[in-house]
Amino acid sequence: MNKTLIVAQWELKRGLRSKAFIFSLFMPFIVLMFSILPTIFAMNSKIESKDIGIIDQGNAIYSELSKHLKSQIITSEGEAAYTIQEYQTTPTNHDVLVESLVADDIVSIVLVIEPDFKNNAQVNIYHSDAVGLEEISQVRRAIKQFSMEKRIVALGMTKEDMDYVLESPDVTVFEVSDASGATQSNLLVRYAVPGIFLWLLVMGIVMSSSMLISGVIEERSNRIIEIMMSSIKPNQLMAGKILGIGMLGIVQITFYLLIVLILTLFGSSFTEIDISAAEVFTPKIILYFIYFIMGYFMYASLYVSLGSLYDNERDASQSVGFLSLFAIIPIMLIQPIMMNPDTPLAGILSFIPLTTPFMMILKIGMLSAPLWEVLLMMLYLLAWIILIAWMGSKIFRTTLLMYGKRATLKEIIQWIRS
Amino acid sequence: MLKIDKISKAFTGVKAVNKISLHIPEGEVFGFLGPNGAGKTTTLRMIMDILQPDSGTIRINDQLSTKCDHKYVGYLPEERGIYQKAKVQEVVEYFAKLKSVSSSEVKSRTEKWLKKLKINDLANKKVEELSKGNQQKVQFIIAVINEPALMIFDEPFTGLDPINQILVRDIISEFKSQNKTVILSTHQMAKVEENCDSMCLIHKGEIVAQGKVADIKNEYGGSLDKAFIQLTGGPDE
Repeated sequence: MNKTLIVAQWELKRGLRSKAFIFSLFMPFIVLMFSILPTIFAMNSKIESKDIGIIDQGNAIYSELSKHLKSQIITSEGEAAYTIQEYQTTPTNHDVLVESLVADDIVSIVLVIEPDFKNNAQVNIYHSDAVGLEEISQVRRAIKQFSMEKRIVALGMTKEDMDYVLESPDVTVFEVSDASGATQSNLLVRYAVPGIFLWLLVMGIVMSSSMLISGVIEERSNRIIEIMMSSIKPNQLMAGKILGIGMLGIVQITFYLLIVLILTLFGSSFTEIDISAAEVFTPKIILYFIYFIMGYFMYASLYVSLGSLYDNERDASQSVGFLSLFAIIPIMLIQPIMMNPDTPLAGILSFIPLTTPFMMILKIGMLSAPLWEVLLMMLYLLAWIILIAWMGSKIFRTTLLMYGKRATLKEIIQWIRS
Repeated sequence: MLKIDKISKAFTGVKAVNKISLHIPEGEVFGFLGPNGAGKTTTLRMIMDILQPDSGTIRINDQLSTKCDHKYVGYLPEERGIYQKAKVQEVVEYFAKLKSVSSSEVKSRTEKWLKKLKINDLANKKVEELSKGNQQKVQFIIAVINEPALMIFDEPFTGLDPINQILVRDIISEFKSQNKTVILSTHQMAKVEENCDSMCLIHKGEIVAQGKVADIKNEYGGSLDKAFIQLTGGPDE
């Protein structure tokens, strides 16, 4: 077998077994889980039965409002979430009553309907500290709807008229392209799929950076390099390492795609997101896949090249680790680019090799970049990967037996040119 | 087998090796001696094509060392180091593949050498779990796993107990009987006397003595230690 492939196979095998890789494989899910779980919990939090007190102040809407709130705010079992009670008071002392009701835990929420609600639609909500933001929002929405319905009825319209007026328009979005004409576009798929790929690539690179760096300089830090050099040429070793580490990227993305496939096939039964596998696994996914791997190779070759300047992991991590921060730039810029796809920033970032793979994933997914551009940028990125690996092999060959001496920029340029 | 013709190497202006010429025939165990910093390791690295000479040529089996396939040469460097987290058998098999041992033979060759060095029961242990001496044996196996025609051992006995030193000595004798060429770089004169047919002594990058071990010994009062001290200026220099 070719020696480069033997090294690649060794690196792949060791990488797959390393704790760092296994950790990096699951880390995106852990981070994602921690970032979306609180929202999911907040959305699905069970409304516990509580008491609402209403001070009507002469509007005579208590019974209607009470009925409305009971029908609109319900528990997961379909029952009214609140027990509602009316309290009578005079305008001058309702503050005292409200405070005593809430402070003494008689009720959790007090709605004070201001006089002349019909015209000013003014309601003050008082609540105890046990009431969450989501509950307040639900009550607000219910009051808003109640007020709208009251006004529509006051204008002489019937319930049917009101439903007719308030009916949401049925809007379908179509995307028109030269290749496939007008197709119904699923905005979630259009934005979420490239977004997820981008996220996975960023996480893959950031989380694997320490593993990549230690893989590069292990032979030097462990002084195995001389035995290696008596068995293999430096450029074969370099190429094998880049290939092996790059193959780890392929394993990583294949693993993620399998999870996405499982989620799209069976996920709708336990989540509310309903995306079919056919919507996600379009030809575009092949392009995302290629750019993911190229991105991984790009960073792997860069780590291998620059990591070979150091003879120990600590120095290398301190000096080279910051490169993974470049991977985060496109994540920060997703929103401005989505809002204004023609921004020159998107073009500039596409040409910076460290951000090219990320930008292209965004462009393919969100901006439907033409195929010629996608293919041209692949060649562009490939050229950079080869160039960086070639420069790296020059540096590697010179520095492999250098211990304790830091190379200057002038020396590095000399080695590359030699 | 090995022909070195006037090789020189300087590092930042300091000459580490200066016009060294050597001819080591096939089937010979050759002692390569010199005090610390004499240029031994630099010479060995140039033979291995790890470093390139500034001038001069090195030929292995009439082929320039730069063109020579790694499979013809085995090298045990003085620097000891090995993949600590990997299992012994995996490491040896990895290097067997890198040294072009045919895939059908990798396993049997690994087993044979682990058995020969008496560490076959450690095959599935991680390298880091091994004693220093056993780690060195693994390195020795890596150097010879492809049983090349030329073998270079830099201080192969250091760190080994007397029993294992005898084990390595016997293996070197076996190589000799198989007409393989061995270069033995060491500071231990007794090992040179015990193992080598010829030798050279290098000092300040130049060869100061070269010939049959017995002849050099006779020339300097029957002791290689004396020859070493006289030719290199002794401990004070």
